[in-house]
Amino acid sequence: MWNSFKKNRFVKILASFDVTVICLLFLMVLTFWGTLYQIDYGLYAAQQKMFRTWFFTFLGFIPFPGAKLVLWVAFINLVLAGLFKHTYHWRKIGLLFIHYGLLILIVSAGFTYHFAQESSLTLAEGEAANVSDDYHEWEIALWRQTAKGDTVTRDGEAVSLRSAKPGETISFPTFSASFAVDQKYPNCKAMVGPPKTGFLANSFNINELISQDDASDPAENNPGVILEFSGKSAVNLIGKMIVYGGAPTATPIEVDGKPAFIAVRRVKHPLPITLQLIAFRKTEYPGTDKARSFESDVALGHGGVFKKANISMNKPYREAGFTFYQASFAQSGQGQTSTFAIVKNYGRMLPYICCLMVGGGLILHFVMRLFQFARRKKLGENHAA
Amino acid sequence: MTNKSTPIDALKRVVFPAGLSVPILLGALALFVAGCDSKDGPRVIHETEIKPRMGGGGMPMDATHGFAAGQGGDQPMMPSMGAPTGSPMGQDMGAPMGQSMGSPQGESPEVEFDAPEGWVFVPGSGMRLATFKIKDAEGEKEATVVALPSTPDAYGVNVRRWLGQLGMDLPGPRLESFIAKREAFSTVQKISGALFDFTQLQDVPDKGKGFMLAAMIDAGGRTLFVKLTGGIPFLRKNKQKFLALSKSIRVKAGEAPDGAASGGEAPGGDIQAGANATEAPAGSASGSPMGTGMGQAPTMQANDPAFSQVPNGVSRLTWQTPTGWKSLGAKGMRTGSFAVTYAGKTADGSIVQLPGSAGGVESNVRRWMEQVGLTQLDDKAMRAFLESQQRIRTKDGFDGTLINLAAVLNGNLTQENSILAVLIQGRNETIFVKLTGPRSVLLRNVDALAKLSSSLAVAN
Repeated sequence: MWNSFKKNRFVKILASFDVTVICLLFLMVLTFWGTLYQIDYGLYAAQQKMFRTWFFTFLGFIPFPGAKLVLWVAFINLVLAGLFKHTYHWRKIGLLFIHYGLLILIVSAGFTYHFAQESSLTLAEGEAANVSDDYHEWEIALWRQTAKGDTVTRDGEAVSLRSAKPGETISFPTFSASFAVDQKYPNCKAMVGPPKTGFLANSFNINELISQDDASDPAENNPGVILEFSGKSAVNLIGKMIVYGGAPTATPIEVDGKPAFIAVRRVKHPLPITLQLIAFRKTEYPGTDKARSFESDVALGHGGVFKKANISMNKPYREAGFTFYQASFAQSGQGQTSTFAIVKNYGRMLPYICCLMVGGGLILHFVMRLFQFARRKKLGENHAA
Repeated sequence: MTNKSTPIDALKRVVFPAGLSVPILLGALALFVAGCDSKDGPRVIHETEIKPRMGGGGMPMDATHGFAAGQGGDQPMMPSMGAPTGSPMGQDMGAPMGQSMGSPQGESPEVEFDAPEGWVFVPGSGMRLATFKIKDAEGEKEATVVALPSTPDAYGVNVRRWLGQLGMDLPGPRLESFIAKREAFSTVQKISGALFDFTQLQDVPDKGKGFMLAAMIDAGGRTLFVKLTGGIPFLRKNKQKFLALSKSIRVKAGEAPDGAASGGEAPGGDIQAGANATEAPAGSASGSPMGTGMGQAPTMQANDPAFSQVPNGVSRLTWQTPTGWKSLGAKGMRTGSFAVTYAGKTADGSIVQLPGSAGGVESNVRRWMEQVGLTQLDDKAMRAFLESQQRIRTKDGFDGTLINLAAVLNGNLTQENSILAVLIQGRNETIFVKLTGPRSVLLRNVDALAKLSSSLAVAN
């Protein structure tokens, strides 16, 4: 059976080195094209159009394979080539390193694509948090909070906004609370004014949501929902309530007779540490206000104990599969804020391993070929003599 | 090795058993793709954020430390301990002062005092022994009496903290000058005290949080703080009453420290090199200078006053002074003293021996955290912190823990001075090897402190 599978024509084509080369060429074109595309349309749009898709069209009708398809084909090709084409002999060790280095590189790309989590955290000097904000995903959150000094602790539940559908009921079992989603706006702007008839007050006196087209970068969307309370659960309210993702504060409500808060907010990701911004510093190019470098002194809290660290543009802090990058900043009369891009990617070391494997394989292969060449040349000379 | 080798072929047969090759491959791929978008019940939230007040420039001391600025500003969160109105306070309020170092944090001394006329006494709780309500044109004010563990650089640490509460900032020389201008007084028990009159600082830019009168009275291992906050006219009007209250404080009979005038006194104006009176049990007296130069190993003499006056007796120690440390000999209750300099800054080193367990590691760590302005850790965090600390073993095989507070920033992101300390549980005694001063000096000398501690040995 193994041999029949090996001799299958389709398998032979898929396992051929020609397919490998074609895939690498497509990837090269896509990378170059995507780099140019993102200049005008942004990184997110480029990723969506060319990389996170099976196919896309250019000039309106010409199909072109997306990186998703190319990478899958390359993966299958490399697996089959590894099984059926390669000769496992020590003389081929360099090629095997290159082959499996490429294979692991593709696996790591898939791992990162599916499992990496990207988020951000913006802190003013002195502020701290142990959660970060997702760039694109939002949630409807219900929580109680306790304040001790300046430390606010929130405990509750959240439901993904993506899974909340108009007309359906969402539940928060911890609170024995449930209510219906009347309307959902993926991106909207909010109008402020007195509540309309049948509407409950919200934290920012928003009385209308107006739907808008999605922003080119979904990170700029501000979603909102209209919730409908029936008074039948632990939330003892009857009426509709506008909850807007762009509102600066959460709306206080009573759940089971006790104060709680509800909000549409970016999905919060728990961090392995509490990050506190001690101070932010920016240096500029002389005579300009263009940032040459910026860095943050931070306190990193592990299990309640805070220790000092520094995060700057090219020196991220890494811990427990998370990488904290200095991403941006803001300065105003109120003070400075520093924004950290936080990437959770347990496979982040894989590309480095792949590069080492491929580089090492190339060196090994060429050195071995060199020796082989020298030996043959010597044999040839001896033979001639 | 041949082309049709062998382990690989065997692996192929395991991975692709006959007839299952294609379904397994495709199935694995399908699972990989399908498994990536699983969703999504309610997600549990547990989040913590710290949002300091604007303009604070870091975590405000009063809130994150369990202090409430202006009223009860020195009161950590402790179990309630009431005191009867107008009468000698408390019946079960703490350990004898002579053992103050060994008493766990949270125990307070028993004190008596005379309430000034017109000041309404309110029983205190926890470390706050009393509150006095004072009605004035400015509104109702409060004076507080609080007991806290003594600190080695008590004046510097506390004056800085109070300045922070008042929103003031003093440059170093001015701070030293202010501390030097403290008004010394004696209580009715002849215990020395110091009064800090912050109304002297009316030229210093403040944040409208008023001014303060603060008195510190050393009571062995504890310091009693009397504090009154308000505007300058109010404080000036009430200063004599405040002083009268401070002078009237009496540590309950039998608990007043012998020779109390010496305990807890920091060298005037020197906020970095305070005498290590914290660990000094009552009855301390100056010993003759001990020790010699760098790198030498001084040995306590059996007839040395510092040795002979330690209650219950402790062992004679020898140690190896780390290179670069200047040995200053024995001082007061210190078995050894050191000056440790780095980059123009100097830290104060000390070796102090106390009989018994001296309160244990945790209570001492909590006290030191308080001294350097760190937020107290909860029990779980404290356990984790203590477990993470370096262990050392002396030449005689006694185990110790090196507590590195210089690496910790809880609640004091900008802390300049800190404490490195090794607690060694010896035979019937606790040995404290401490380094107090600028963090930069301390962080450079962690290994040196560990080596010194490891070199400790009981002299034969």
